[in-house]
Amino acid sequence: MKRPPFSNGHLLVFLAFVLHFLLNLQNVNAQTEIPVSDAVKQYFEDRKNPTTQNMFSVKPTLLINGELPVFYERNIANSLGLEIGAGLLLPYYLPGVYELVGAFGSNNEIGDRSDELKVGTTYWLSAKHYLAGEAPDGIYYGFSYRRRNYNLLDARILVSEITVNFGWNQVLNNQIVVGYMTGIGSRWQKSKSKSTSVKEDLDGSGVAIHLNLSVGWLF
Amino acid sequence: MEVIKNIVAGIAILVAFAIQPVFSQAPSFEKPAVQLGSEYSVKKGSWVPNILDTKGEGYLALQWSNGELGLLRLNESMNVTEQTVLDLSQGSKKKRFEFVIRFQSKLLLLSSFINQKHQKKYLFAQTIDEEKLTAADDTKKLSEIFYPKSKRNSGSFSYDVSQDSTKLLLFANLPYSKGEAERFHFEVFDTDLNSIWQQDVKLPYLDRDFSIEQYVVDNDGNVYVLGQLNNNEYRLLKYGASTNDATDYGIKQDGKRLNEMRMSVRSDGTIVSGGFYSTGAVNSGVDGSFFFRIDGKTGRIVASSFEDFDNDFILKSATVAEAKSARKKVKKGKDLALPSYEFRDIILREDGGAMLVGEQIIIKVVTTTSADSQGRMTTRTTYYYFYNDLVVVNIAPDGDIDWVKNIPKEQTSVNDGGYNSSYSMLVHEDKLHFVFYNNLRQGKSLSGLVSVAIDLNGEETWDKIPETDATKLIFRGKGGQQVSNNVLIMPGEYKKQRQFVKFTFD
Repeated sequence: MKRPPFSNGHLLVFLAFVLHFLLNLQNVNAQTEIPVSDAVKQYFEDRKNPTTQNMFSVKPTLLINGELPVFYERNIANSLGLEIGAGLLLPYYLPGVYELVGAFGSNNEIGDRSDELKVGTTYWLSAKHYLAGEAPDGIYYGFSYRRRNYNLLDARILVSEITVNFGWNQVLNNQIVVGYMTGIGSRWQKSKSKSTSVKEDLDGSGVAIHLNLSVGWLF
Repeated sequence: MEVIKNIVAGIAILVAFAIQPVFSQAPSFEKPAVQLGSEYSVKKGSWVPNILDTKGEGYLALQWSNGELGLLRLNESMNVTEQTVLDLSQGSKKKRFEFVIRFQSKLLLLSSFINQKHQKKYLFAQTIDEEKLTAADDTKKLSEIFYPKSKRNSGSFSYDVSQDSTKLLLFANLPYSKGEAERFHFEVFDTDLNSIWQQDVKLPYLDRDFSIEQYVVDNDGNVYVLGQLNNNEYRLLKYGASTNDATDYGIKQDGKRLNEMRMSVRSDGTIVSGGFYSTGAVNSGVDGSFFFRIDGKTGRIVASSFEDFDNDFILKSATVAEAKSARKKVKKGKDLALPSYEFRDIILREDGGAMLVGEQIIIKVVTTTSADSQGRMTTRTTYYYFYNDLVVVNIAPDGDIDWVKNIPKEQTSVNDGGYNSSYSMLVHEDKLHFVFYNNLRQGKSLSGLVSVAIDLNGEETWDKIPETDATKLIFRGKGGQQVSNNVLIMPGEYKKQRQFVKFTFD
């Protein structure tokens, strides 16, 4: 019998996390801003103005997984950043790394059928709360939804993940952003295939773990 | 530094009272009136960096609590009657607190903001509304310094106020790189916070060779910077407000290594400075105290005096363990030195004399390694902080050292940076009053919080403060501040409880 993607315990922890995130978000929005007088306004105008802060980034570590997305992040408040990502799943993988990561129960979604892989697609959606209120700079926590569509010769696998994340972005030279992120959550996968045995073989769920390095460009 | 600023304010007190007639009177040592406020609760880690006089009744206290800067109003009974949070935000940005200054009749809140786009660190001032206990919407940029891409050594601001409170000096240590020349920036402001003059200074000394120890602005806006070169010579730098010229004087004494030097500038431009000296190797201890009077125009030393601490005096301040080995040295005919004394205060007198105060501060680091039953090694480092005796040096108006007094004190703490140790001081009429926690060297009857007064003749008296014995709270020696002519207030803390105590000296 297949395990459900979330146990009740996991679900409660995740919901508590999301609730905490949303409450913090409410606090961020509830803060009243003291207006800046014209006499000193110019001294506070820097690149970290939340209305103009955008970032494109890539996560080179995802290449190990054969995943090549590009990310766009925009801060919608001082402390809050929303990130979307989209890209390709390349038809290759590194077995050794899979075995290593597989020890944590993750990334074994294509099993031993990697030689049947064709190009797929990947999508990310993340929300981040920056503790210092200078998004996208500094330490943050948040959650993300990630969906990958693997195309095999005779099947299609849809892998979904929800993770809670912790990370640290460092703005260098006011333009380049180097980030480190780790996350843990649940992963579940469903396959679409005419063959029932293939479905039996590929459907399942497990733990999702993220360990990523990112490089971004502010504009 | 804060204490020195309070003392500078206290000079006005000395000016206001005729000192000479006091010489002929028998010393009067009235015990201070003690007013202990009610305890109040805060979040753990809250502390009070400043206590200030205010225009209306009572006093104000700044309090850091949970990352927020607050203002408390204290009534004469030392109870907190009002409490607000000072909002440091500016639009969507948040400024960083730097300091609060009483400048003329205004209470100023100074804060900074780092603008990474401009690569600048800006310093702003705004007045504090003492009625509402809020920061007014009158933010004004006072100064700016370059902020490097690397956040290390990013520079810092500090300040001084002239003796007549008509000039404000903002002094900025600039960011530096290894091997570069020492650089700093200063700007002098009038009472309306208009800039009078400023200068960027690059010294002919490398940053690693020169350490800035003190900066002072006089009533005319001239700026004096005292620094130590190569740990063996003091340099006094003067920057003239009207002439924009700079002069660099060396202060040296053959055979004596000056250290812990501090200066103050009299209203006539005379610079007085004092400190301790040693004759042995570096870190060999203090052999005596010195005093210089320097002509501010020529940089010439017009009067100087040196007073050796004799062996009897040094033995008085030695602990039992130290005294044993010290006596052996004396028997062998060797001279003793006072270990680890730091110069703390210089108090100018209207008659031309001065009083210097030093304190013995020793930090011992003990590292122990032990093994548990399974053979695993554990290393632990413990820091012991000893705040011991005070030394008071009285300088006569002619520049001679009149007397040197030792005030015995023992304060020991572990791994806390000596947070509650040291003393608070008040200058009133012809006396210095010290308040501190005392251990048992003066006898059991004087343990706990005590007040020690010393007058111009070196007469001293000790008073126990029994009012504070019942409370669990500890009143911070370093936290007390002279808030008016004869009032000293100390903040006390214990876990999440806070309390203030007021001493009124007659």
